[in-house]
Amino acid sequence: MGSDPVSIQSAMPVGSPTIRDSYLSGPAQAPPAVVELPVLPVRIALTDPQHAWVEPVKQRLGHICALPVAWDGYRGRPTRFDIAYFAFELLKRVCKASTPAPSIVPLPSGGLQVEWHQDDLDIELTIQTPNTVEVWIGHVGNGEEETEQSLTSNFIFLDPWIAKLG
Amino acid sequence: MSRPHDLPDFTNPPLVEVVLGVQFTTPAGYREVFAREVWALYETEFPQIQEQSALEPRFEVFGGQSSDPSVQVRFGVVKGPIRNRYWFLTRDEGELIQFQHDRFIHNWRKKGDKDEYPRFEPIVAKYGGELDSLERYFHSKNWGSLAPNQCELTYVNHIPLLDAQGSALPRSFYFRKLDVSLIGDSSEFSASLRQIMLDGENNPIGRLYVDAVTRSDANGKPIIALNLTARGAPAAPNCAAAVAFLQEARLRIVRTFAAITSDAAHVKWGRTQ
Amino acid sequence: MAISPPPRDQNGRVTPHDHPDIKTEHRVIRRISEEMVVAGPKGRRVSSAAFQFSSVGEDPYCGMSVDIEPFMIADGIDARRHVATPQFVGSIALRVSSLRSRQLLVGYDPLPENSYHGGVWGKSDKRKLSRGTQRALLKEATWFVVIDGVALVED
Repeated sequence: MGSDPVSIQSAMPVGSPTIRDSYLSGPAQAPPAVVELPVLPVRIALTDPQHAWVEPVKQRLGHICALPVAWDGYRGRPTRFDIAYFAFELLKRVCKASTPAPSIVPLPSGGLQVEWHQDDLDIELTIQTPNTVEVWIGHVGNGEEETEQSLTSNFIFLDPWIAKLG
Repeated sequence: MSRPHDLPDFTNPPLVEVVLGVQFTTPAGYREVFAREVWALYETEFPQIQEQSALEPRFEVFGGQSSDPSVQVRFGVVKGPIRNRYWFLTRDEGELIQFQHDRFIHNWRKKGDKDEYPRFEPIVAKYGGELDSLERYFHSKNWGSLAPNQCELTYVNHIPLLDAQGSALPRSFYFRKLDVSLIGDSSEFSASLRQIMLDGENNPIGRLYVDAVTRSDANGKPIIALNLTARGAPAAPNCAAAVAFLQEARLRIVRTFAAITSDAAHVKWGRTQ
Repeated sequence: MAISPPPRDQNGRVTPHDHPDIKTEHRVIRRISEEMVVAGPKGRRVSSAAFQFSSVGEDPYCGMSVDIEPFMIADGIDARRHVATPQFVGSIALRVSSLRSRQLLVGYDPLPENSYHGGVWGKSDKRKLSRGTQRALLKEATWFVVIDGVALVED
């Protein structure tokens, strides 16, 4: 289920589990003037979706953050903790419950690369720092095609590609 | 920076704490021992120090489906240094700076009824100066510039549920469009709202969190704790962009606060704008 | 072997260059950690990340590390043992011609812990290898120290 207790502590008061997103229709406008009551506290329900990718990703990120210096035979550094966190937030946002777990490759600089490879689709996300994601997608459209995009914190671009993974 | 003329304003808002913070990339050369030198930058005004456990990183990202709140994160044991968070406090503990390897946060806290909120403009100007000091320190160590990757502004409000005569006020008194009377005067309630902040081109730039919960204050009196937090990445990884985000966040928070609270509450708080 | 010293900047860092003692017919060895192996539809293979330049924060010239085979041969060093020490990893061999024909510089960058260390750099401000170049280099490479069951590239 991936429902380990939250380890994030904050001196800044942060809201209880949230209910929904709503989009403001422009800059600095008043939001809908409604305060919603939460449905229920977060609980484990039998019908909750199983996010099969979560546990392998958590383990892999923990592993590459703990790599020794020179893990690559040269001067490679372990993956930076903040980059691993950012990658996990990215995956939480774009992956569905059914999305297969990606491969995650450490980079010698302390970054990482998230990869999926299927017969007709390759997706690679290179993360050298938080808020800097280089996307490369190889896919079979009209022949073999490639798509590249630089993203920061908005990953809507990835949605249709991740959906193709299953 | 001057206050926007059309921004809602109150002479006596229920504001008890304002928190300004940035998260930044830890410099490669940083070691915990350098925290002492960072404290020295602010020690004259913040002579007291406490240690806390470090905060974990936090990022706002967008796209895809809503994040499933049951998908929590905790990585396995990570090798490397134990990180602390240091509180540098003023003598009266009304202000504190929270510093750790990847965070710089300033809290202003109201100490008593007569303590007046100093207003956002001088607070953010002071915070910008503190960030500049930290960045000069980074340069002195050849660590390069401070590179913020997230910013956060929180307004904490404590709204009393007893009036001046000690009579209970209904919990819905303070909120627009919220009426719990249909289900009786429930002893507790909580409410959360989360909204995506968009820029002028409809691109997401951050999230606004609004949380209200009934609890007791430090004197044991019943209150509603109403917290508004805006968090997101600055437009560029530098201090000026971080301050600009905090300024924009303030606008969103104040407008949201005014929008969700009732006209009767505004009279009580002395709304002038 | 007497090797001419590489060019350095005012901070002592080796700057991008083509070293005259590294000929196009020579080979360089690129170490490949098991951490760089990914799952593909046809089995395990080496990630494109195996051919990543360093980031600017790590190396202002964004070089990619290699070991210079001809220098090891000239010194009578067992190259396969050298590139698998102190951390056992796999490795691939690439002709220098494969790199220089793609406008890449191949130079000498000795380190205290590795006197046969070299660097591969993009020319001018090209600090990134395209996926096409990364995959083409993997296709032209051969295993030097094999990681069992891992292909260099999928057909």
